[in-house]
Amino acid sequence: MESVRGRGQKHPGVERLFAAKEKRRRELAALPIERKLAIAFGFEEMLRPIRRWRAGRAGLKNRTNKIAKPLRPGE
Amino acid sequence: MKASLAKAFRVLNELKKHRIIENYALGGAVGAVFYMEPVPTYDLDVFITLPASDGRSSLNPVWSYLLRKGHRVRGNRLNLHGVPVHFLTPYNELVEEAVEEAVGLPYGKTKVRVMRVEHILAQCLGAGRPKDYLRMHSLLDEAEIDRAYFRGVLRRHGLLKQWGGFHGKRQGSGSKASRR
Repeated sequence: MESVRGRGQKHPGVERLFAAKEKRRRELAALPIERKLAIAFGFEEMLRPIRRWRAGRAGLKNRTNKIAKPLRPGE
Repeated sequence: MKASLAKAFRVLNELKKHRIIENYALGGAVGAVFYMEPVPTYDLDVFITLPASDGRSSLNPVWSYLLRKGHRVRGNRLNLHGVPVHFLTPYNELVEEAVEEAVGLPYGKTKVRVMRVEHILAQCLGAGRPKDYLRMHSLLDEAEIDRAYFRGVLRRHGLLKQWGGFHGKRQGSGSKASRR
């Protein structure tokens, strides 16, 4: 089957994932500085995880994109 | 002990008040987080200038003052209220200027001196590591930058050529800013 997408064009799922990440970045940037620094130092966990772009397989669709928690100072 | 950034910032202000240091400014990742989304970090990079009359560049007076106050050393960092702090003296004129012209930003009820975003950008550009370029992209997308002031910083510190290269690539990559 021939692809309906043009050459170099992103899959709509990828576009959605990028848009979600961008939205998440803006949300994080808009947090009060106390929370941003608490997250940066690992005193506080990140906000809700971003849902992973559905990979087309049932086994993957509900997994979340886990963001590595930064180490606490001294760890 | 529960870590407290507010208390650590108050200690920095106290250092300045008691003239142990001439001035200070937060830089590095923590400085950048004031203007963009949080990025993981392990310590607080504090750039300090020492009183001019002393003519010293040693950090001994700062360390001894803080150790006398009961703060402890952890690894090669001083632990201020549970926060590992890395004291650094300016290593070039750009950093000196960044400390001098830092701005007071609120952290809860405490005011803390943070490098201007334009200086953080210029330092990232000068350092040129991959993580610095990532930070630059985030700052350029999210922070309010005084373009005229930034150009002045670049010109004063000979970074215009590097900026041209970075900006060209950024525009070529179709970044958010280049689409604006």
